[in-house]
Amino acid sequence: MISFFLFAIVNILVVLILAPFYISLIKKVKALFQGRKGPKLFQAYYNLLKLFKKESIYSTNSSFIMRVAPYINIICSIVAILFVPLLFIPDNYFGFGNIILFLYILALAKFFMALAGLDAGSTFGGMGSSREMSISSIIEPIVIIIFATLAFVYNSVNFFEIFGATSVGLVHASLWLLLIPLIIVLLTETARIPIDNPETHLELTMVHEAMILEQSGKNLALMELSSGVKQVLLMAIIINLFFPIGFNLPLSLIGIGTSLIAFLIKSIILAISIGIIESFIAKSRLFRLPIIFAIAFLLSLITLMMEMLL
Amino acid sequence: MNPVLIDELLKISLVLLVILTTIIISRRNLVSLINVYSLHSLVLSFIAILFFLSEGNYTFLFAAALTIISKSVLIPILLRWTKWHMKIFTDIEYHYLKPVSSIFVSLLIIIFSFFIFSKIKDYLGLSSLYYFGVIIGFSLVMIGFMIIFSRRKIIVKIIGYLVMENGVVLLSLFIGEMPLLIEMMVLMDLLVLVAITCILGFGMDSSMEEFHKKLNPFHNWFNRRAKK
Repeated sequence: MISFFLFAIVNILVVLILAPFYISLIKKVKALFQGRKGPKLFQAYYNLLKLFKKESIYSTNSSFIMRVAPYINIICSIVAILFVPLLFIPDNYFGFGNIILFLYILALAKFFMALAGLDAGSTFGGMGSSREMSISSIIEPIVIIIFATLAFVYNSVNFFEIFGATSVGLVHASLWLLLIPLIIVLLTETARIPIDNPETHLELTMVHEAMILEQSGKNLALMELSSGVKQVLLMAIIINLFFPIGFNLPLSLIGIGTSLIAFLIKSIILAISIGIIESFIAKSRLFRLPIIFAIAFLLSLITLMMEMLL
Repeated sequence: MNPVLIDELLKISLVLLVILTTIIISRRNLVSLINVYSLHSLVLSFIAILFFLSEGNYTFLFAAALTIISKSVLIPILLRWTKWHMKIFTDIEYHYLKPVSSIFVSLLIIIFSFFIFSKIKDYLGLSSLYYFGVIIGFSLVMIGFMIIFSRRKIIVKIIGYLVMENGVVLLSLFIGEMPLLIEMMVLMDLLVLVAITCILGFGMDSSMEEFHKKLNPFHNWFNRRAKK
C-alpha cells in the first residue's frame, strides 16, 4: 500500500516536472540542426507559467465543452501517469496498469480535445478535429496490434507485469521489430513530423495546433501540459520496453535516485533522437501518411507472427 | 561460437531483412532504393557468415564473400553509374500498385507463404527459426515478383529482380542446398549484368513503352535498307 502511494507521488511528480523539459529539448535540437540558437531549455516552463497567469477567453459560440475539456484532458493525463511505471514497480498496483484502459483514457482525452476544437465554431478547429480523428482511427489498429503482441509475448495486459519481465532481461530479438511501429505511434500521438508539424500555424499543415487554436490562458497551458505528459508516457513505454537498464532497482532512496538518473539519460537520448528524426524528415502530405501507417501495421503484424512462430 | 548467440543474431538479421524489405517496397526515391538494396545484400551475407560460424562449412563463407562483392558493392555501383549516365528522374513510377497497396500485398504474400509452408512443415523437418527464415525467403521471392510487375522503370524492375534473387539465396541458406545456391547466384547475377548492359546498349532510360518507341526508328531503318 505504502509503496503504491510512494509510486503514485513519485511518478506523477516526475512526469509533470519533466513534461515541459522535453518539449523545449526537442525544439532546441531542431533549432541547432537548422543553424539557429533555439529557445532556452526551460522555455516551455516559462511559457506555461505565463499562460497560467493569463485569463481564459471563450468564444461567444462556445458551450460548457470548451470550459471542461482542458480539465478532463489534464485529469485523464494524470490518471494515465499511474498506468506507466517510470522508475520502479510497486508491490501492489490495485488494478492500475491495464493497457486497454490506458489506451481508452488517452482516447477519452483526445475525444474531448476534438470536441473542444469543434465547439468554438471556428473553421480551423473543425478541420483540425476532423484530421486528428481520421489519423487516430488509422493509427488505432496499429496500436492495438502492438499491444496485442506485447500481451501475447509477456502473457499479460498490464504494464507493471510487462515492465517487470523486461527489467529482468526478457526482451526478445524479434520484439525489436516493434520499435519502429512504436516510434511511429509516438510521432503520431504527439503530433510530430512527418505526421504533423507542431510549430506551424498554416491552414494546410495544422492538425493538433488547429484543434487548440481557440484555447487561451490557463486552458491552453493545461492542454499543452497534457500533450507533454502524453509524450513522456509514450517515451517511458519505449524506454522501459527496450532499454530497461537502471529500471526497477531495489526500493530505497538510492535505488529511486539511480533509476531517475538512468531514466533521465535514456529519455534525453530518445528526445534528442526524436529531434534528429524531425530535422531529417520533411512533413508528409496528408495523403502520403497511409504509407507510414502501413509500414507500422506490416511490421507490428510480422512481429506478432514471429512471436507466434519462434 | 555459442549456438544460442548465433540463433539470436539470426533472429536480429531476419528482423533487419524484414525492415529493409519494407523500406524497399515503400521508398519512392531511386538513389535511396539502391542504397537500401546494398544494405539488404549485406545483411544477407551476414546471415551466410552466421551459417559458416554455426556449421563450419566454407561454402557459406564463399557465398557470403560472393554476395558482398557482387551485390553489396558491384551491382549498386553499376546501378548508380547507369542512373547517373541516363539522367533518370529519381521518383520511381508505378504501373499498378502504389506504396500503400504494395505494403498490403506484401503482407498478404507473407501470410500466403506462411500457409503454404505450414502444409509442408513436417516434411521439411526444420526448427521454428529456420522455418521462419524459409517463409521470409519465399516471401522475398514473391515480393520481388510484385516489384517487377508493379514498377514502371526498368532500373526499378532490376531491383525487384535482385530482391527476388536475395530471396532465393535466403531460401537456400535455410533449407540447406548450397551448391544450388551458388549456381543460382552466379546465373542470376549474370542475368542482371546482361539486363544492365542492355540498358546501357540501347539507352532504355525509363520504361518498356518508351523503349519500343525508341526501337521504331531502327525498325524503319532496317526496312529501308531491305527495300534498297
